[in-house]
Amino acid sequence: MLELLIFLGSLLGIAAMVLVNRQLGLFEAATISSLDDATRRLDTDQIGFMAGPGILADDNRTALVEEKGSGRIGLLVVAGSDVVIRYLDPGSVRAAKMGEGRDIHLELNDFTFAPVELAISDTSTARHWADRLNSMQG
Amino acid sequence: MDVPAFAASFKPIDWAIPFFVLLIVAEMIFAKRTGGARFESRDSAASLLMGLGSTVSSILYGGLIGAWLIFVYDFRLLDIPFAWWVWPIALVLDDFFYYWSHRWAHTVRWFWAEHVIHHSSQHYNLTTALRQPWTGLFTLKWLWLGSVMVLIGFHPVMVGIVGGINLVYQFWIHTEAIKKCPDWFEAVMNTPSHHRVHHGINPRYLDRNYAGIFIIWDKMFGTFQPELDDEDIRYGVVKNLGTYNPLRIAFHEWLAIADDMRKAGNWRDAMMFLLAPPGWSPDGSRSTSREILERWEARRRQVGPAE
Repeated sequence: MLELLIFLGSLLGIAAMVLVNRQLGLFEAATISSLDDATRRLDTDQIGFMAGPGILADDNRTALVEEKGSGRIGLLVVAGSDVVIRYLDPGSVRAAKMGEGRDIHLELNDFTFAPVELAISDTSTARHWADRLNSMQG
Repeated sequence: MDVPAFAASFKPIDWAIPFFVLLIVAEMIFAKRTGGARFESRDSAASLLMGLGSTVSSILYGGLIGAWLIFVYDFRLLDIPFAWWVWPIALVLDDFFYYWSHRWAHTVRWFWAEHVIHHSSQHYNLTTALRQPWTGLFTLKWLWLGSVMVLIGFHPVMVGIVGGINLVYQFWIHTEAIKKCPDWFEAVMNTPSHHRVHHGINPRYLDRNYAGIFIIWDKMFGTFQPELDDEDIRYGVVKNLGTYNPLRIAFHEWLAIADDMRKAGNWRDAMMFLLAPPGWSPDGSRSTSREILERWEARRRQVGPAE
């Protein structure tokens, strides 16, 4: 019984600290400022990444960049104050579905990567990238 | 051997928890006032929940490890007393074994599957210190490396206490709020500056500074890297997580290993997925820390040191 109370007290303590964190802010949300920024991040992350065509989402929160030669796609997604990167090979993509508007809903075959929405204003561009992503399905 | 009353009931981590909470709040206030630290609330929540889960899992399997160490103690080489002068010796020796345990946790994927949790935040603040694994039992390191001091003759209670002190020491070094300590301290002790390097994924920071309390082990065994003024540190792991879900954080690398082994073409590759350094793959499609560093050095030679 005492252990259960300590456990519940710890959960309350954690909730309080997270609430303080949330109220104080304490971080600046990351953005991907341009396609060049996306390419630079990819090159830093994977030295020698040879950037080809790409697309930066309208909300500057996601980007896709093809790699010349390999056919891989570099995917960048803003997560809080950081950017998380994945390199998509054949088999990486579970589904890339066009949404109600022009968004692409992307799910990967990756246990550690939550589904992501790519906001792309031009329908034909969105369709092109959705098709390209779906070609990476496994 | 009789265990002194103070040692029988002394749990350094339990005593330290209130100070952990106070220091985290203090660092948050410091971050608000100066901008000298970063906290993202979902990341902080994940780290703190990982810490709580680690405590719960330690309680669940602590009895098994304790029973094993008491069993091993019957085969000890020496009868080492609970004398005052034994404690500092035990602390230094424990730190020496911690260095090797930690080094192997980065260079053997089986052990990395547990330790990766601690590195899985892209932030570096005091909550990161509490982002601890739940699956220590699975590494089986406690069966051999964790038993060496007991086999030498240090009582399991003493080994538990100095191990706890080692972990408590490491809490305060998980901060960007302290830039450098006095030179003499930086030379001997593990510090925020040294440990920031350890959490960095910049190629020249990968797999450096494994120390727990004393940085001298890294200097002795060739793994020391000072923090450089001209290089901002990127924190996290080579393949950063896109989730704050504690369950996914806790088990992701174990599942990845199982998946790789299941898909391996032969037994040798399957065992290499388990025992080779993280990033190893039979076709070279992934990169180990060493390969990343080699690529970075080749690029540096090509374009000059400014890169």
